[in-house]
Amino acid sequence: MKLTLVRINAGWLLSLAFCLCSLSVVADDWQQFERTQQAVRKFNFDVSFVQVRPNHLITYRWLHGIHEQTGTLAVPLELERLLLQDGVGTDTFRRGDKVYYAAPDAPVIVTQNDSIKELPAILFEPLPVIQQLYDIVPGSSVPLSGRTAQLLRLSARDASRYSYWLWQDAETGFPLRVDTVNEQNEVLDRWMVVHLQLKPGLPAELQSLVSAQLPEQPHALMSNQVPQAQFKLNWIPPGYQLLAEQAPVSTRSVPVLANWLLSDGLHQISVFVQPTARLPEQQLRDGATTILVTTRQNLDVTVIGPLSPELAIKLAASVE
Amino acid sequence: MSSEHQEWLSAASDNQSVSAEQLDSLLSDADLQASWLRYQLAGAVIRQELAPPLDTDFSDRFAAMLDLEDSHQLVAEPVPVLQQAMASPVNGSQPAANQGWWKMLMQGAIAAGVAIVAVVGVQQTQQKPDDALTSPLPVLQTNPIGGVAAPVSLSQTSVESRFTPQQQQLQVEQQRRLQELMQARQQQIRLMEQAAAQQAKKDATDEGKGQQQ
Repeated sequence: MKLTLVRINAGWLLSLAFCLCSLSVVADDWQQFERTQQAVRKFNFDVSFVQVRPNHLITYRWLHGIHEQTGTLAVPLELERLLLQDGVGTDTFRRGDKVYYAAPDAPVIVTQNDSIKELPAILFEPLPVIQQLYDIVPGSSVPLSGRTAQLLRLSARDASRYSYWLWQDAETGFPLRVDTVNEQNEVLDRWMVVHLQLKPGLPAELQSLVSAQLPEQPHALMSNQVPQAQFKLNWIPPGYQLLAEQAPVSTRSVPVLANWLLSDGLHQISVFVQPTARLPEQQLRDGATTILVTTRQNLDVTVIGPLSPELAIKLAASVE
Repeated sequence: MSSEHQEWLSAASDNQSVSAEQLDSLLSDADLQASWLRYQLAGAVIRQELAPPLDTDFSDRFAAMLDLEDSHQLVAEPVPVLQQAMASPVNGSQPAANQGWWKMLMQGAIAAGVAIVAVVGVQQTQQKPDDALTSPLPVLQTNPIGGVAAPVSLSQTSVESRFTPQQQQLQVEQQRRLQELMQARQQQIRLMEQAAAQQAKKDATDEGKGQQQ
């Protein structure tokens, strides 16, 4: 009896303290989060991370550095490289605002991006975009690889969106782990740093990238395809917008009759319309990404994106 | 009779099956059991499974070694400590602190500490939402699809053998289509910002043209 009383008191005190603090602390929490966003932009580092999904684990090496250019008004140049730690695959480079994809047996693809899209978007997208979609709640600190990691929970304002749990290195602010969780707090996708080495200067491996001869012109885009007019999308998940201009889609086996790309600034949903292959409807999952194939009359509608199966079905049904 | 017995017994010791009657006779007959043991031993020798046999004088040597051991050492040790404690009355209270209420209190504290650790541990593990990573989600069929920078390879692991070859072919076809769409999506996302920039540029020039007219 006495014990319960004490517990209630403690709980009450805690919640009171929390209420008092929370007002002033929320701004600080976003500042903490910003430290992480700054760390991945400003530090020189050599990092290995794993991408964990059900039945699927890939290890990457990720290098980043700042090259101080000579000249009076020169801005520091960001250099970045992402490569598979095991096996052969696409080697991705970034120099400033250009990203280069060098796949074996294929010409180098150049795109204009100031971050590598294969890294967690939450670390790079502008803070106001993230603040619009997420509330921040600090969690406890835990040891990760012998370092103290502070948990920051980015919980989605809209329940249909997945949340992020981010563990940042208490000392440097560097992200150590990012979990994508659903409403039941089940981990769908885990991004975790397994080796972190901060360097005083540009990593030696990136030195050659400073002066490397790389194709200058980004991949030219065609304007919107004509057949799109045949179909339209009648419903869009909350928070998402239809991107007006899109890269053309080319597939080898079955033509794409129409496609849309929706974005909330942080995530993207793709919708494809193809002639049907007369296969049963399918729901698949790759980490936090849902892949839904629905069949209707002589069309297959495929929805790919980080959304729940229910919303994916609704979105597929809205194609006319 | 006896040779007949030996035959099935020998076979049985080589892991051949025995009938119920043979098993009953083996269980009741001490002679049969003795020969069973002999067969097993012979088999073990042939298969070189036996540990090297002990020397006949093993026990003698062991006894000799025991004699060499100084067995009084352990008992003799505590004596000087006790003498020391009694010799200095100032320190006399120290051994007592190890035994009375202090000891009980310490034991209690340790137990409480363990309990707290246990409670914290349980809470920690309950907080960890790792289940979904290790077990496939109930709604969706888990299926590995090529990673971001990894070579996208066709996965046929989900194609089960219970399907007819025709169905399997269709499933492989479906997988190929999905892989292509995943690649197309990846391409779209990579080019998204560029497309937006191009659109903005186009809008600006359109506006410029409008103003000129």
